[in-house]
Amino acid sequence: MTPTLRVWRTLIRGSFLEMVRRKELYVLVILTVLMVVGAYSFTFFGVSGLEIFVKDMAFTAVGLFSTILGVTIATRQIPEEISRRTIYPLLARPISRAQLLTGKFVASWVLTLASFALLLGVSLLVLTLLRLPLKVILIQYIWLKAVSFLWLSAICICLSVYVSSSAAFTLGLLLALGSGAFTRSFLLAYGDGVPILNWLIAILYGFLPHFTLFDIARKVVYGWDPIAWWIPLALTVYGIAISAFWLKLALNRFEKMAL
Amino acid sequence: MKLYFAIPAVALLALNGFLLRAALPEMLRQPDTEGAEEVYEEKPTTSILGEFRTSLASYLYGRAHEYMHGGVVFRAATESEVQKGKRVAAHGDSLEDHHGSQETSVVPESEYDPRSFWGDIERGAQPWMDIRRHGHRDLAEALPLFRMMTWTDPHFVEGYDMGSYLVFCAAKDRNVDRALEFLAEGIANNPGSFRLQKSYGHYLLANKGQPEEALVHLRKAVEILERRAAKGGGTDRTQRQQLIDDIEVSQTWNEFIMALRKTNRREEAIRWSRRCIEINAPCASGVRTLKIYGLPLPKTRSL
Repeated sequence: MTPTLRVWRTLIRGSFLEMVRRKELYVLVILTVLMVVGAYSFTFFGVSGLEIFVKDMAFTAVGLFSTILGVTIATRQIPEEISRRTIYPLLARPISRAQLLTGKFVASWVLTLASFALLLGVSLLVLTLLRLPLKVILIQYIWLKAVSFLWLSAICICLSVYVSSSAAFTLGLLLALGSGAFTRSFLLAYGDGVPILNWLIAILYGFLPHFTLFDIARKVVYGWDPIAWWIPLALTVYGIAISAFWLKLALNRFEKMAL
Repeated sequence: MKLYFAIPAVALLALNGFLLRAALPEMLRQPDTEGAEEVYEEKPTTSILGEFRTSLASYLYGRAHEYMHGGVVFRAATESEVQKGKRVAAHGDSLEDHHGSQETSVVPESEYDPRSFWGDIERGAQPWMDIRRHGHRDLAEALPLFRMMTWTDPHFVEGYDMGSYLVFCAAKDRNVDRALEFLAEGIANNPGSFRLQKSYGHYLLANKGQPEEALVHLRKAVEILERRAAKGGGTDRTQRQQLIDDIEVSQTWNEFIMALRKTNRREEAIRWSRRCIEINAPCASGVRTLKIYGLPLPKTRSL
């Protein structure tokens, strides 16, 4: 195992223990179950045929809570090390700042993914118990969610080295949950566009937050067929590239940061 | 430690009980007008709970639209989009009226999307269909939501109106009786709603072939409209709401005059046709009625 991988593994373990200690995940799992069962409870009052509504609630809960957890985990990685002064013994070891930052990024991504897997697992279990089947597109949903958490972890870590932890949390949450609204506003304001400028728009557009672009939950809920193979591929390439961009930006700042 | 949770929980429950107690008499009262605004604005507590009910019902109404379109989100087309003559709904079925106005998909078609391949990705990854050729899923799937929204807010007139239409359309044999039952519940909760009276009268007139019974409800609908006009109400609406309201008002008058003609009430049909032309010109049914009876059209600014 290379030294970088060893650093990453240690950081993932440390972050995992921190997450377990804070008990945030348990609360969100309970909330998810309550949301799904709550939606299903309408059937007890005689409203049958609410399958889509129950699925909708389940995937909304999974998407929302995993995003909140993802932002929470990523935005506290670096600031907490600094505020607790645990960053000094860390950097006193043969660990470069780049290794530390990328390690924190990988830890955030793995933990967010693990939280998502747990929330989704619980939801799928509840849906299975309620006999509400899902289609194969679910696999693409999981894959794209994993890619979207790369972006989420990268941009939140980047924000956390530029602004305070709480500001990074707020901004991260706004960018993640409001990304769909940004796109809609842009389209409404820009309209059909100016043909001569549209190629420039297409390039710059990639730097806008596109968290919801990765989220195909609605297609899963409404039972659409799997999406064309090139879309997950294109989004994976884009997700890795844009995450690398935000991480590089974070590294530029972190390496010059006076600790 | 447990007290930290128990005290706020008890306080919240107490507040909840207080709100319910304070608001309930108004909550149970039937509004005199279309919808529940009048009742919900009587007390702050009623307003809070009323807003919650209306918001939840509106949320479910929005979801119901999504259900019908398989998760595809549409929005009202802007005026410039309509003027340019593009990206608007052409349902080609009777649901067109219920969409209220022309709509377009939130994610535009490729020829109108300035984002190039980003647009292609979004159209592939999100539920999307070309609004000009779009269809509806099994309408029955959305019905439970209408049941839920009218339970949540019994003064949510749109829920009853659209829900009854879906009940009617979703059944293979056009379930008029079930639609009428749903509308009757809506009328009982909203006796001041001309839309529900109009819809009830419409089903009786057009689908049950009972013009006498239909006339009772259509007459009530017109009476509500006349009272509203006398009060000068129905003006504090958005342009879109006003447009939908205008269509509903026009349909109410048309159905009413038609019912009068079908029940051979000649004098009354003439009188109300003139009234309709006077206040609601151009009144197609009124004009037609006067022509049928060989009478001259009254002079109005619009005619």
